[in-house]
Amino acid sequence: MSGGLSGGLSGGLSGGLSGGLSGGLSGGLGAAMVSSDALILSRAAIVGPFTGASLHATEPGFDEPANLKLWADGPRVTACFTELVEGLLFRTRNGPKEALLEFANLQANTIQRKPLVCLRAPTKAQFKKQLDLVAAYADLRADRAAEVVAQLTPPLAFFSSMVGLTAHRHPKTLQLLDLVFSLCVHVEMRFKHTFASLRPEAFSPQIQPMIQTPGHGSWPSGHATEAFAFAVLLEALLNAATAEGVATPNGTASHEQLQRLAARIAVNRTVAGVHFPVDSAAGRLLGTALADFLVARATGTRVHERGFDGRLFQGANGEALDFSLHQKMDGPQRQPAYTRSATSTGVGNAPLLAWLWEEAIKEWK
Amino acid sequence: MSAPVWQPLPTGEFTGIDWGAPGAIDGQDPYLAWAEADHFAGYRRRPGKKPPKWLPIVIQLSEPADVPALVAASRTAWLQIPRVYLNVPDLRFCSARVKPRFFNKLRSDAHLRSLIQRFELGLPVAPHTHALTDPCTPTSQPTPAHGLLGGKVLGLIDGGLALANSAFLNRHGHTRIRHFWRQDAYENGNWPGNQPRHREPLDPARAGPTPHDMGYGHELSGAAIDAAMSAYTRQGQVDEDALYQHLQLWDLSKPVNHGTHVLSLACGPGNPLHPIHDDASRADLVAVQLDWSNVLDTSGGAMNVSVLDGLMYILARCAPSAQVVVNISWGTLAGPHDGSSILEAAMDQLIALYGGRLQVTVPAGNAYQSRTHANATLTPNRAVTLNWRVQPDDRTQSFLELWLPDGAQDVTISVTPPGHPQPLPAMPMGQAGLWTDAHGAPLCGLIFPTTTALGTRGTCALLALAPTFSRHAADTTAPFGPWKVTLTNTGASATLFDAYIERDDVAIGQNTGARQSYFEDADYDTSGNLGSFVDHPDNPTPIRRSGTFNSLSTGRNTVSVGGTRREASPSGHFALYSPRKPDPDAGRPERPGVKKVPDKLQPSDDNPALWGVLGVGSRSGSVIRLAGTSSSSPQLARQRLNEA
Repeated sequence: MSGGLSGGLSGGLSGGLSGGLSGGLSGGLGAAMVSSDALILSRAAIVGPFTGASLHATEPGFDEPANLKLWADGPRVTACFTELVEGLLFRTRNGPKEALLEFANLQANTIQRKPLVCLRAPTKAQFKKQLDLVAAYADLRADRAAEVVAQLTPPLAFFSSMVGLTAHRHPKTLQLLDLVFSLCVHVEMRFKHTFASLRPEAFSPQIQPMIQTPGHGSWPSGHATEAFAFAVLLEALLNAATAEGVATPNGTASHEQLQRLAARIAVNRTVAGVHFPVDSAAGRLLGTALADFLVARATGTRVHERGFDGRLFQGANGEALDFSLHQKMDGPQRQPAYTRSATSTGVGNAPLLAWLWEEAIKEWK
Repeated sequence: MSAPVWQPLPTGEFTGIDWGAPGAIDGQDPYLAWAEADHFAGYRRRPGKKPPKWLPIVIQLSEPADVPALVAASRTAWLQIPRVYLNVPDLRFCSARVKPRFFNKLRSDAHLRSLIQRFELGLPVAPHTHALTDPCTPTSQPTPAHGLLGGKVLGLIDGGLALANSAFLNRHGHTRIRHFWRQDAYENGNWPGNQPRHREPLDPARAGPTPHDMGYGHELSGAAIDAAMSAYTRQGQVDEDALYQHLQLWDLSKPVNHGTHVLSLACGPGNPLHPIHDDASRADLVAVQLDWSNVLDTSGGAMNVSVLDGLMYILARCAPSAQVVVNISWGTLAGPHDGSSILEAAMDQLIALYGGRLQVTVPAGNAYQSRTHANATLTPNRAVTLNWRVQPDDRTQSFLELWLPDGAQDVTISVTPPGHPQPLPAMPMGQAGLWTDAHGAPLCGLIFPTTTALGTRGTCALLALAPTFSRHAADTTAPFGPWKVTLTNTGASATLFDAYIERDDVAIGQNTGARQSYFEDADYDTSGNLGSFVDHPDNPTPIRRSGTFNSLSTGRNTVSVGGTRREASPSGHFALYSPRKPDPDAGRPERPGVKKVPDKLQPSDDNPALWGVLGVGSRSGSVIRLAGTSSSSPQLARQRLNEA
């Protein structure tokens, strides 16, 4: 896991998100390759006889979360990530063809599994009906081409532009986003693998996607999962960073725009021809749940189990339903596919995440 | 799974008309019935807000009634007509603003009813839902305007008119626009990004007073424009930015404006390489600037009031001796196309009454390749299905008009929403219905009367759809994708139909969220190969380019102008978007009187690669290129003015 992460995601994403964005000084130093020959020559010329350990070194404390400040971005994110995903497991139920993401607090004396997310895919017949919507969305390709292509890579620039997120001022925030992105990628790939849903191009040669169809399953949409996770995480962080007593904290004040952006990113994938609207609907739920989970792990708060039953995502007469932000995910007016349990679940303590969270909050004050 | 069903139309909260009653829709404007069904949602009325106070309408009077007769039979408390309509004796058309009482009176007062042949809804958005100032009363007399113009006069009705552009100045540096009327009312009006709650009324000290004979908008005389220009002249140069800011002409801060380009083609002095010294380049001008509500509402059906009022304004500023040519580079796609819409009939009568002293030029339209028209013959028992593709993310309503000739009473219409296996019940002529969401809000309406106010021959069925997207959760949105519309002839004799999709695109510089719907089928040639840009008689598709025509320019007396390439190519000399002359598919059966061939042609593209022609931009000296038959008609207007 760790190897895969460092190599694959911390390398790729810390390189891509925090590494690339917070690149300024640390990136500059790390990247400036000083020749070893030069260092050998320099030392040999000036070193003189060795006089033993002459410096006063303060050894960092044992298992101190604040030691995270000592580490480079990639290793810091990797350390936090292992803590974040500790206790996550996947289960499937063959009868109803459901898949669950569960959490067990492995640090507790008695270990209990608790469900976080329960998903059930739409039927093949539903996907076929949804194909009409995918075909209709192709009308928007020329309009959205620039966005679709820009969003082939993680759409960080779109969120940065909205909330004023910068590499020089918000390095720890970028690392939190890096963490939630990694969490999404890992979780969604297991779900995609489990459900193994076909892409739109499998149902018709006339979809002709405007970008290459990715090499993994269609449902749920990874782009939707990640974009909604970004939106929910940023909202929570901006709220936590707002001074107490403010009537509408900044996260809440940004809620509508963050949600619209996430939805736009999700829909753009349908426009491109690589996703069904119902993929976005499930991704919205999953991304929201995963961001909630990260925030709860970082702050010691609780989460509510969420579910999405794809078989209920259709119109009153069985017609294909488009994805819309107006569909509510909870409450009495909710779209029936979405569920959110009334009771809440604790998700243990994660001191490393908690440290990173607090540092990120400071960046917005 | 239950099949979708039609619900009856409700009783109108404004008109009090029980639209669901037998015969209630016959002879009426179906857009009014639909507006009442969705509570004027298409005209930006938010849920829970009050209905409009007044409705703008355009009226055709029954012979031999005239405007004074209608004024005498009504009261200004519920029917207001601009005084300008008293100027032309025997005119059988006028615009008006009406209150609910008008509709009560129509029901109870047989004399009033006998005066009115038909009426159509205008554009009921503020400020056109306010009372007029100084409307006609029974004692009103025609009152001539000041500064009547003689000789050759060019009139223009358009948007974005840069009245201080050097192209429109005479050799003394004074404006040739002797009269300028803008129909809008707010400094920061109804354009995208500005929600109406931030509106400020225009300042009459800057935008000019309301012309007494029109009762709304603001007017600038040539002298007022000259005075403002001189006040904003620095070191011999007019500071156009500051001038337009002072005059509250906010749209002229944009570098490209449709009306300015069009006006320069009609009467500009050419450019330094090709100067033009003709009568048109010296003629006096009268300009009417449409309200941006019209420009935004490219559904266009509601331009009738604005354009007719504009034409009356221009005529009221000209002396009886004047030779007037008016260009209207604007248009819509749906309508009877036989010249019998109220606006077209009104323009025809005005031209006839002026006996050769008035000519009106109108573009033939730009939608030749846009798949917005279908036509087919319906032999007994034959059914023709149209696939009407409505786009996602369309924030405006979509409309389809199905026109039938007289004697088509056995045609039924059935509609299948996208994603629904079963159609709504087939509807016979004389009926109407709404398909609603779970809360009763209409997603779609089909209004299929025996006769219609939209034209005088046959009838028109209107299929209206809610937008397919909205930012407001409370708004109703219709499903997008292919709507199947099937016309079936259940009778014993053959008939035919024309289907026209209403214009629903975005005008230059705007962002209304409109998206043009279109027809599709497997036989229609979209290949772009040679020969694929015209209809071939043997192609079985009902989607026909021929017959796609600006629905403002099918009158008998107006001149429709198609677009050509200045330099022809081996594939032909027509601009691809323009109707052609002669008609490549002339033998196809058509409803009586339908016009589908332009009267005249003028270049609107330079060559196959360089679409559009050059004209002036907003600022003096700037040159821009715009494509479309909007460029053809002003060139014909220029020719006619020079010959006059």
